[in-house]
Amino acid sequence: MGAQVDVGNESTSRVAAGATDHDGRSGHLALENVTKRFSDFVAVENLDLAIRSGEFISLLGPSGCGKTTTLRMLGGFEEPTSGRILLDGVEITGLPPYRRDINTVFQSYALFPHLDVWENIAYGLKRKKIASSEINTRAGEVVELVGLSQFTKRKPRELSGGQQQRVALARALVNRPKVLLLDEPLSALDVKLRKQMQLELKRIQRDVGVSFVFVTHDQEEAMTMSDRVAVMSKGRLEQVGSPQEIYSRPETEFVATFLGAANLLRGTFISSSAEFWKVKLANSSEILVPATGKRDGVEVIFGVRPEKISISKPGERRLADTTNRIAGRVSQAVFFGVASQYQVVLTDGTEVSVYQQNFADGVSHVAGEEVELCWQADAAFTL
Amino acid sequence: MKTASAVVPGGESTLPSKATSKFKRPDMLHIYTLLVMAFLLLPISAMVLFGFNNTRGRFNLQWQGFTLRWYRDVFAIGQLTGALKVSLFISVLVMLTATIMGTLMAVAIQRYRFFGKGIINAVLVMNISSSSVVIGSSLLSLFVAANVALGQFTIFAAQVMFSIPYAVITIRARLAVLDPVTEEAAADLGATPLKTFFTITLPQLAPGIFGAALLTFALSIDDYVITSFVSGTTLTFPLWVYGSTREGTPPQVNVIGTLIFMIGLLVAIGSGVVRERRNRRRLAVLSAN
Ligand SMILES: Nc1ncnc2c1ncn2[C@@H]1O[C@H](COP(=O)(O)OP(=O)(O)O)[C@@H](O)[C@H]1O
Ligand SMILES: [Mg+2]
Repeated sequence: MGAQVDVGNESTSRVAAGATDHDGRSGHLALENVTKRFSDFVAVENLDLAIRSGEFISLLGPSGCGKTTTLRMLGGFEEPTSGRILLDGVEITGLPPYRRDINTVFQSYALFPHLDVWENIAYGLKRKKIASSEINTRAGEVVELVGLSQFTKRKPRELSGGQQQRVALARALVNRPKVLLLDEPLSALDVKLRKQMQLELKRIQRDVGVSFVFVTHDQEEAMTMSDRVAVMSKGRLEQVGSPQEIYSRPETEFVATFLGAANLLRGTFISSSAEFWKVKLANSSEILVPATGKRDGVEVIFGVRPEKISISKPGERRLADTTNRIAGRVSQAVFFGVASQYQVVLTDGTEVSVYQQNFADGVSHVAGEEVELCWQADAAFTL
Repeated sequence: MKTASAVVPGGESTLPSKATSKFKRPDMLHIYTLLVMAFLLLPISAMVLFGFNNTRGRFNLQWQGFTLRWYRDVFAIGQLTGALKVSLFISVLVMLTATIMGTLMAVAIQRYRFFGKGIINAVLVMNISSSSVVIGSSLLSLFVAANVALGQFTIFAAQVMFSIPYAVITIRARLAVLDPVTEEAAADLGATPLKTFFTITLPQLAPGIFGAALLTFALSIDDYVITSFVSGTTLTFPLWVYGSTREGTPPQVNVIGTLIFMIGLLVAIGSGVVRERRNRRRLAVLSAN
């Protein structure tokens, strides 16, 4: 595998030059208020999303939330019930797939079983009536880019899953699309190969500079690969932002919990300063939360991720005034090796979960112990 | 290819020993299987055997010694040869027409939703399950009522009609296991629907189409019942053979039957070999990875 990657690196510069020389700033794709209904079921609802030139954006959400449907509308396989799709400012809503400068890597790869690897890759170029000498150069470049040089005469069924995946990628990329759509392309691979392909896919995307729209239901995959992540739920767009933004500043409860564990807490609004709101919890302790959320009346919902809370014996720490502190009792301590997870019950009965690195052997606090939980006010997020 | 030949024998080395151990103690299942095979092969053996019978009289019913005479004189009976030519001509046309129409219908039914699809499906099934005699006689009434002269054309039309459902079913079975996303992939790569059909759908359907062609040819060249109603004065091979039974069927009929059987057998073996080769190559390549 290592050797194949090396071979790929050498040729990428050529491919990159080819991909960008026709138009350095193309690949801007916009969905405007797009809705897709299947009879009376709404699969995608009022979706507004602008995909920037050359970015790697993920559509992330649980199974059935409308990711594939969105991708199929971009590819031209489904027609939106309403709304518009624009590619580089030109409306493409009604265009069939074969008239869009967009290519797709299908979830099942959908390689042509009766054609060999080379013929699969050359298929798109032949349809575009490109001279055979150029087909040979371009197909040769992508074959090297994805490390399949020794396999060009093989039929798809004579390849492993990972190799088939590369053929699917090469077959799409060779056309130098403005945007490449990928529908859970790594989901059929085993974990080890998947991690490796994640890195390689990211490298290829950077090299060729094509906008990638990457569908996945795996939040870790989305976070490691993407420039931006668009989180979807039940056909609606929940939030779009960089991986750090959506992880640290989720705007909805769904985003907060889908991207990892989060303690969601409620309190009543007391007062506000420039940066923070002062909030009173049910156990009447007062804490500060970022003044960024929407606030209906006096109820404030905010969240803190378990790894951002530190757990200590009461009174052990000296604290800055932007540090929140609440008391509780450990109800459960679970040892994971590198870290431990503590379930802490606050005096009002609310349960909070905390991750802490294991500084000593075993857990640092045991069940029943009275503890103090602290976190920086700006480490929390307000919904 | 070096690796292929090295891997395959190794991979299958367990097979022979398994087979011999099974043959050591013949059980009821083996005996039963052999009996059924014998039962199935008996009429074919008789047909082949009596093509070599050195018969002198009008009837080819008693073994009178071995000869290749009938093979040399296979086309000596003018009427029989003529009927065979008519049959071959019609059958090739029926095969082509029914296979092409069947392919298009199968694609339409399997891939698209349209008004009247249910009715078409029902008609296909009804067509297969109806009685040949009834179909034949009603076709005759139809042709007579419509003032269509009976002959090669009416035979052709009738045979196309009853062959199409078999072609459709054979090809649909193939379509059902085909990944429809490959067609979307073709469109994605810039192929128009027509180009997709010819470069992606049709080649993948080839085995089904081949099967449908064989089947419709066999149905057509063999048909007696329906053909007999709509043939007028035209004689096909089965019609001539049936007519000849009263004054004695000549051994040439056995010879022609044997030849047709042999061709069918060769085609079957040939496609089996091709499939086996492909599987071996695939296995070899995958295990060499
Ligand atoms: N052709 C269709 N007809 C009816 N419902 C569909 C069709 N395609 C998708 N759906 C429904 O739309 C919803 C979203 O599907 P999909 O976009 O495939 O989700 P995801 O890719 O996020 O798992 C699902 O509930 C699915 O059942
Ligand atoms: Mg999906």
